[in-house]
Amino acid sequence: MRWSIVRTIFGKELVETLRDRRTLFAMFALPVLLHPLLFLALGRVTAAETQKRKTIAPRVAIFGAMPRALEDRLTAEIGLTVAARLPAPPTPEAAAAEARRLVDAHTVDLALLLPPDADARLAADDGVALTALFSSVSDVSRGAHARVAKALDKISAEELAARRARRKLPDGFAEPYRLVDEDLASSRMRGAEIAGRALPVIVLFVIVTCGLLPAIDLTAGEKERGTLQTLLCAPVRPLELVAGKYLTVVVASLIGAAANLLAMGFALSRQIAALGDDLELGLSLPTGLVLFVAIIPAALLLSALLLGLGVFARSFREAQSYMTPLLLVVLVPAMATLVPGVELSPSTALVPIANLSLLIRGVVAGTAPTQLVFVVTVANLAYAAAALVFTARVFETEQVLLSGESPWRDVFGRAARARVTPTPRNAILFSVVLLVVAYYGSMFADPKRVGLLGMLLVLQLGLFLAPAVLWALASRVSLRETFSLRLPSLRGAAGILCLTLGGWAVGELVARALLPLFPGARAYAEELARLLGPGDAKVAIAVALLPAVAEEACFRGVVLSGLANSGRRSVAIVGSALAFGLLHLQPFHVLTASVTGLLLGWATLETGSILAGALIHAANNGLRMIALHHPAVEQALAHPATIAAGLALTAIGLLLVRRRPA
Amino acid sequence: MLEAIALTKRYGAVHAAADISFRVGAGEVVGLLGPNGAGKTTILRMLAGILTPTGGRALVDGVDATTDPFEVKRRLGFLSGDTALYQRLTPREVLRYFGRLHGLADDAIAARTARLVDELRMGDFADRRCAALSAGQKQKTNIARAFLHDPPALILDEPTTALDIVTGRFLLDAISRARAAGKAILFSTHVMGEAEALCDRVLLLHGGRIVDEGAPAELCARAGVRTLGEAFLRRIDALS
Repeated sequence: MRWSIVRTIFGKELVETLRDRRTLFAMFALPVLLHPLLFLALGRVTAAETQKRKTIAPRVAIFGAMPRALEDRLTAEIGLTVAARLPAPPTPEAAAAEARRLVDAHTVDLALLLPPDADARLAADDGVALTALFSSVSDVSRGAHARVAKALDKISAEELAARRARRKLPDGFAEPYRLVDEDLASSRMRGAEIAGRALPVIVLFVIVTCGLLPAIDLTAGEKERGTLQTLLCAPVRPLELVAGKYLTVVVASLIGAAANLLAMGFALSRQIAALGDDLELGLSLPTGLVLFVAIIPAALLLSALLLGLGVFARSFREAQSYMTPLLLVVLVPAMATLVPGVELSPSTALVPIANLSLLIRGVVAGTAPTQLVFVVTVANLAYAAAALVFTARVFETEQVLLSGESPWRDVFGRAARARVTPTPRNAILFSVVLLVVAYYGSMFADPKRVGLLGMLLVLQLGLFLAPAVLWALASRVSLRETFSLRLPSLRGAAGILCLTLGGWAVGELVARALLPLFPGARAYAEELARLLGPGDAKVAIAVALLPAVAEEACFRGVVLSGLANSGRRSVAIVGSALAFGLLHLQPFHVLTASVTGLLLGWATLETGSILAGALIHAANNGLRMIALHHPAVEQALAHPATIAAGLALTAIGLLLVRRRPA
Repeated sequence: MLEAIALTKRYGAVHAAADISFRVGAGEVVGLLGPNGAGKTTILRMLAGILTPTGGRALVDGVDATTDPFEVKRRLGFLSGDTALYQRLTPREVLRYFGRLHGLADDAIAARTARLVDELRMGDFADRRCAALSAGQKQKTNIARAFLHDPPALILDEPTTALDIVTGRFLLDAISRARAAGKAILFSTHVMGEAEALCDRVLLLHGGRIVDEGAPAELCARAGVRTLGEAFLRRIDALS
């Protein structure tokens, strides 16, 4: 892929997008004007209505005789207006029917039913039960009920205090136990909690709506306007085309989302301030920036999905019909934040869309663990890559591009011709599938249940080796070529030997350099040592050999050979190393494993033999296991002279494995 | 320069193009003539690397369009009557965009654009957005786009469709100049007069097959008629 071409396409698409009035209106004008207007208008109306309800005197019907003192107090307290005085009906049902008639006719807001002996009960310092007959579906009736109830509570408390005073009883006489609540959450935290539940759905919705128009315009719109054929005549690779358009949609979604969030934040904070509740939205510039960073993975994934569907559609109209189901697919998992008990956790971190929603909530509330933020970001980058791979495939499908009638078969069908090694797209897709399979699969391989050796066997053979072999078979590629099943040359073998003996030093050096930058890395390494430490010789051998076979089959097999078909060796080596590193899902280990992956990829590609990757990997893991059990070895490996010797051997090895020009 | 070898395209049981073979040399204009649905556009798209043939090979400057469509597109200028332009860009921006996609340096793009704007008399509208241009002005922009990277071969698919007589003449003159510059030109049309005036050879297409070929005068002589249109109709009648 040529970045100059991607940049050219991106630049042109951005200019066209910004010259499109519809898109500009949806991205900027709508949020900047509409949100403040809507929220402020709604806030004003709500506040005015609430204030009005607080001052309106409830109109009541009284069934039976209300004690004079109580009526006077209620009138003084809330301006109670008696609109009807009626004899007590013979049955409660008759009272309810009569009250409903009066409330429905808007004659009264509620009715109060009093017992016949109310006065006598009060005189004897007894209690009087008033029945409030109101309609909960009527704002007015409900409001009147709330005001009467509140006033009655106050009057009742005063009456109780008077009775206690008369009888000289202590304050707590009528209330032996009392729970005094003190909320530890600050008003800002409470505000963040409420915002964190609602905001993710809004943010994801906004990203989709802001990316929607550009995505359709750049794909289905281009087909409809007839410019796609012009573009297809230019020497541009599908992935370059897709990447240029994709960046445009990402930028449009992010700009739109930022404009929406700013406008919404301003309007919401004004509204909350107007309501005067004990809540703070807690929106500040740093919070806004953190939130903006948190929505980048969402924009990356959703833009890829939007672009994929846009490409698939034959016309603007057809694209819009695909977007409605997409919106539903996005919004339902996005509502994960509204489900009680669902939080960002290892088990939800890879669930598409829901993980984004939970991430945004976690970031707003300040509760998202750094490790899981990283996992969610990696997962979404991987999903976005898969969606882009799909889009690029669609861009090569003539039935779709030329608006043919049977596009589904062309896009989803298997390749008609068998290939020697996987395509780059196939390799990317495999990496994404492997990430999900290995992540969730490893949760089931609990060492307490299956033992340490069992866990290693399940992980390496079941979750790495088996998927790699099955994927290669399903892709109808040559197993020998895909997995580089051949012996190296003599010179290559000498190079592999040097790298096997010294390659560990590269990882050691990188780890030493990075350790101070990652505070959690040491704890992670100790946890790993605790897990593997109790293992016997069998476990040590398994740790050394199983990943050297299974992980190499995945990353120096399917991924490396697939990416090598991009025509650029650097893409193959860096790409396979990154895929290998990212699988470790812990920032420190991602970096150290990626660097080791570079070495493994280079050696395998240059020698043309998987033995290179397997032997260097086995030696690296084996040495770590020996060091874990033998402190002397650990000390020796950590010695600068040993590291220098390892690095020197690595340098010689790299020179030896380097393929000489033909 | 442009070569089709047993080129075939099938959609299910339908043959859009069947066993098509021909060659267009440097400095030659070859016409692809046929009624609507004869398979002209399908053949041109296969040669341009946009459609994958079901069988046979399409070569441009010796490069196979199926195995290396990317290289083929670098060596080809493609223009059709219904080619659209980006409505929100100006002709000058369109040329800069396609120049960059073809890997030209910015100063080369600027120099070639200036020459094409002058040659094709685009000065009045080169900085107006394409949405505001007439059909003729748009087609001039498209000609400039197809010629910008100075390709050795040109494929022109009914390029005079919807053009007035003045702009159509202008385009035919541009094609003549390209032939003089040594380009291989494959030209599809259903306007027989254009083919007669411009083509060194013509291929008559019917039902996805080549039914006759030769210089316009040869075809007329063989059919015993005076115009290419009559020769074409007589050949179709004979087949029916």
